[in-house]
Amino acid sequence: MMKIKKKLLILIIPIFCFGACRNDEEKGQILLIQNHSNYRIVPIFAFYKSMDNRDICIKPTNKFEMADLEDVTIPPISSKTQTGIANFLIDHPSDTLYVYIYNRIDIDNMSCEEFNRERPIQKSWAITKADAEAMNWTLVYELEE
Amino acid sequence: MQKNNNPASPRHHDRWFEADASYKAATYFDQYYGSGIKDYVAGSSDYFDRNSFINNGYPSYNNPYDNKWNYWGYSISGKFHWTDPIIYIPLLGLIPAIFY
Repeated sequence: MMKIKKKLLILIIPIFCFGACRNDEEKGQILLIQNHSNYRIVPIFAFYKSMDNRDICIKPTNKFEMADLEDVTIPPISSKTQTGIANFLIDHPSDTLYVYIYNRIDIDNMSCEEFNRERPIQKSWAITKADAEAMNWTLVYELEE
Repeated sequence: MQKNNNPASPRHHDRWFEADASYKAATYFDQYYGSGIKDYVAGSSDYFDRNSFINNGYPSYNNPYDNKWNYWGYSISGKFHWTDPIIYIPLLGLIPAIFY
């Protein structure tokens, strides 16, 4: 009986130590988005298909989404890394990732109806893995005068 | 929701137990409704897409019930929080009970 308990212990300890710590998101590549403007910007992503004919409003509807939006907002003259997004391009080299840059102030101030009607996109990219490599995995947003 | 005053502090959906649940869900749905099935087409709105489940981004799939696309992703990588040892210690404390 004791031997069985010891075997169980040997089995359980590694599960406690290593079971919850896996991370298969990390593939060593990040996509960097640099904000060279004086505005807070929000990058919005779409996989495979563009958002041209689809509603794109991400106005938060609850406090969780509000916190998510705060997380992805890039302050002026700074940058943010996007690990999982880079993995999409690595896993699907021939598929397209669409990136749209919005001013945070537009998301905060406009209603969803207004937002979808006016679509205040500041800049957009449609990139594949080859494009990302050519841009050194860095997207730069500069305010166009 | 965890406190937001400290941006480095993980929120509820970033905790290891939530991330682990999201990981299991992503794996399950991908196996039975996504890349695990024979006729899977990447990017098709007819199949589960693991990328848009775990990352922030618009998928091809549109929820027919509310006509919305789910934008926010479910993290599968947990972040350490100071309360984690408080959760672990009682669990680890049960191990000696095996011997008695």
